Amino acid sequence: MRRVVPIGPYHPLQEEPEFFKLIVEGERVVDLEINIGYNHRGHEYISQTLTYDQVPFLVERICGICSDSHPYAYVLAVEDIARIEAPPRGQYIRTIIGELERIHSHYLWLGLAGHFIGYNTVWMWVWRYREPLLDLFELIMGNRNHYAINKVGGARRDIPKEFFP
Amino acid sequence: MKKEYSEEILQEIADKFSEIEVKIHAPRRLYLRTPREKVYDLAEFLFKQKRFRLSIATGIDTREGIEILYHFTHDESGTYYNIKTLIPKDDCQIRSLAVFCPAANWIEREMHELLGVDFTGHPNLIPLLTAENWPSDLHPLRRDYADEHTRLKLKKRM
Repeated sequence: MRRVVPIGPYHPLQEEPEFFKLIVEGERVVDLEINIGYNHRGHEYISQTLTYDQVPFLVERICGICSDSHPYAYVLAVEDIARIEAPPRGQYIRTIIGELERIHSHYLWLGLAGHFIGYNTVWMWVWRYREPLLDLFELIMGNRNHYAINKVGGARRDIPKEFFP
Repeated sequence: MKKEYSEEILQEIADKFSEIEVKIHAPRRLYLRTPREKVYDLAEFLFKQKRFRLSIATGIDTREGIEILYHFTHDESGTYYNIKTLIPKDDCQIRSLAVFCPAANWIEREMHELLGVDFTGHPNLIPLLTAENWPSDLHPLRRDYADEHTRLKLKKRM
């Protein structure tokens, strides 16, 4: 016998608006309907109405955790079209921020994974290690999560000499 | 392996499909401008015989028509082969790639509702992102949508 198990429209675990309609036969999922459009904010359309320098700030807000990857990809694409090459220092700074973000992002999912399976010790410990990274971001860019470091043709902020070990 | 496009694959494409215009943008990114009728065959050739991966497809509304890019990647050499095609607005349809390539399924549904491209042969061409009561002839990423939108809003107010 077929039954319908609805999950959503607000996901109980991931805390994001999405809707899954599972059609099950006993323990087996035989069909699935997905609705993921609740959070579509029309970034494609908005970015068409902005200038090239404004778009990085917009695409940074696509994702709050990976807020460097989207503007980074965007400025690389614009530089590719316009045949601009960023100066080496700018490229280094962007790479450093990107790598730091990668580390903090992995810490984040690892902590959340621990939290979801009920192992809150992992969550607390891993996020403790994530904290110095966020402090670093705040030191360099004045903000813990939205860095605004990418600009077409380079980086928006310098890493001063006194930050070097 | 050198991270660069392969001359052999390009030669094979040129032998099989004479009408394709190849533009070498960078050593790791090629644009294959293809007429609409040949997109399906070329994509099938790249996907099935050359084991390419469909990374994503994108569409944009231009003056000449709707332009669709299928970004195929060759993972061994880390190169992009972009199939670029132009669809006239008065006959807005193209053969669906979702028949043999499951990765094309959702993005074609998205382009169908946001740009109004009709993908013939698609197994399940229902809206993906828009609400259930969204009018099916209103395409938000078309350039004329803004006018349409204001007109609708005015209509509601009246």
